[in-house]
Amino acid sequence: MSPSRIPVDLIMSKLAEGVERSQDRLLKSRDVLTGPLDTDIATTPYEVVYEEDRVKLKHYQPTGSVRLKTPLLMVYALINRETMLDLQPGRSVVQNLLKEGVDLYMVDWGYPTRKDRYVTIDDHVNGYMENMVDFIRKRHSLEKINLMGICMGGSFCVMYSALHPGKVKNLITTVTPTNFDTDKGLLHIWMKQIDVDRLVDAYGNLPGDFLNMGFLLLNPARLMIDKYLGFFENMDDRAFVENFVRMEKWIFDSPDIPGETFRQFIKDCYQGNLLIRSKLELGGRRVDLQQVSMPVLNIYGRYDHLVPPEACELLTSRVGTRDVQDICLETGHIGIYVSSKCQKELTPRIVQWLKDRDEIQAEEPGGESPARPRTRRARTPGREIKSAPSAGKKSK
Amino acid sequence: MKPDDQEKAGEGPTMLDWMKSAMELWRAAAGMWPGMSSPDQDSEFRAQPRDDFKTRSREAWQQPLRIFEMLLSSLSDAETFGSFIKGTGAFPDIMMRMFRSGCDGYSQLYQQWLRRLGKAGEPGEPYRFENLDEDLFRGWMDIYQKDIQPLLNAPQLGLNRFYQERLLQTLDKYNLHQAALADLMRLLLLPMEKSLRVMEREIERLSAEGKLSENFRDYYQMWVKVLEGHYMTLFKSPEYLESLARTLATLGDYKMAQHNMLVDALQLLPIPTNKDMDELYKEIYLLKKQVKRLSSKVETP
Repeated sequence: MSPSRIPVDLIMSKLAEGVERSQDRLLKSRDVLTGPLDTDIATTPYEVVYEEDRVKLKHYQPTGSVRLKTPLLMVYALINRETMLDLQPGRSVVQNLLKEGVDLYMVDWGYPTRKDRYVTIDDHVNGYMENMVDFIRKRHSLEKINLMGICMGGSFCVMYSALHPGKVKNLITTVTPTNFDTDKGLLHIWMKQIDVDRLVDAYGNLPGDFLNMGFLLLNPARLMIDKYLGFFENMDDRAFVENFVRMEKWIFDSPDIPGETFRQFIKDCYQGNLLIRSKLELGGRRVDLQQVSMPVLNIYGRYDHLVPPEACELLTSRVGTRDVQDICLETGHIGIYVSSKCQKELTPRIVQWLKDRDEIQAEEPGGESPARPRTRRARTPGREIKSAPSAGKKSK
Repeated sequence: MKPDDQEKAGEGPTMLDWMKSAMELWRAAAGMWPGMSSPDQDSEFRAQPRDDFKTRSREAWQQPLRIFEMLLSSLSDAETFGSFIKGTGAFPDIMMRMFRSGCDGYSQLYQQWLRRLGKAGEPGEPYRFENLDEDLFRGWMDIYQKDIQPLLNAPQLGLNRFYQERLLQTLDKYNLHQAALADLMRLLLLPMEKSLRVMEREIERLSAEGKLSENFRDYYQMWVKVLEGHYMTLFKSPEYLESLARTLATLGDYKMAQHNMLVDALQLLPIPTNKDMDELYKEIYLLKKQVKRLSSKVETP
């Protein structure tokens, strides 16, 4: 190697330019960071229509001129919060669905405390979910509703649909792990090794920060170094800072996971792979995927490092219906909901798929549409809430 | 003690003189405390129950003094003193044995450090994480498990045995977790080292080809990509998986031990422990399930 071939002088002069630019940026960023910033998330107005223990059911009013007859219940994962689906105006799955005329309900799992440590998957699926589905069915006088699950919430939806097929009209799963016997995703490799009993016995609930640390370790180079360097390089850009802070707010807003639910999910799913083999049992009943008889739309991301395609794509071949569709989007686990590109792809495809399988009703000018929910007394273990719509504000 | 006996004892006179003068000093100090000098003076004091604390304090002072005095008088006997001196002669032997055991362990650890330093100059294989430098961790664990852990796990005696046992268990689990965590951290730092080595080679190559970039950011991007690749390889390696599993398992053990120790402390205070609350939560959970089941039965026509 000849030392004279290294353009040290040029590299140093570029570096000096960079330092000068950084100084300018720091000066400008002071104004941005100390000035007013719009970093609120989940601002779309909703009503809490049902509550049971820590769990709430949110209802969003559709804004479009046409409306799908059957309401859609979205079930988020127990990891992180459903606010990701309504991150900001213009990047909101919730708002896109409302514009397309979907009557939307969303499960807010809340923040489990130590008293929730004994709550199992069975309690989530055959308890809370079952009660909320019943509540919506009665509210709209419908036999069946549409169900959409996100990640672990999708796994819950698959379980629910197999156990209660008579109550689900259409099932949509997004980035939903159902086949855990793969070594493509690091989570799938790591979870097979851990002694979940020791962790749950010691902690009660699995702390959210503990999980967050695990997620950061999935890609430390990008998530702990490159990401913040990117922030440093753009922190004089108000819009960039606002988006960045919104994402940080969402990422680190991590409720604990009820201990027994975590234990069962790791043992039965990640370590035993019982769900896809129709061997999982909830409340003494076997979750037989052949019982999933409603149409199934299965969406996942090609570059998803948490739930790789191999963990999602088997589902449609194992369910009992022939009306199935797999969609693999060119994105990752979160990008599927928040990237600008997928904003234009995800919701329109879901809505079109639903429209093909549902009745469409026109909004009557100035009047209530026939599908408008009627206030009924809930005959479910939770309680019906009558309150004015409010923008979502969370409290931990 | 007769002068002959003292001579026989050899070291006797100096030692005994010192002990006697020390005894005198402490007796005088005790005498300066009002009401503590003699039993005659405190007969009135004893009649006052409100000064019970003083009586107990005086007793606490006088008891060790009396014991010391008794020991001193027994040592005045030449034979006893001789055997005492013999006994103290054996003490350094015991200390030496304990010291030797510690030194052996330290020496093993030191040798492993030396071996590691010897390895430092060897170029590591990029994107490979098998059999890496785990001797250091194993070495420390060997020492800990052979020489320290048995001491912490030795049977405890007496009224406080259960409390001592839980305290020592917490110490043991803490040490095991710290060792496992240190090993995991060592593994997590390896990609940093390796990525820098790869970068060095890469820059050499680019330089030889005359393709070096003038933009510093290009080198950063190259490094982050290499670092990411190394982490991905590390995270799938059996060494990392074993270390991760061990760290989490020892963390769980440590938390449990810590919790058990905390329960002892909280029991002294009017604060419910997690154990108490968990029992209560379980009962509430089961009751709620039962109520929901019964309520749905009642509501279903």
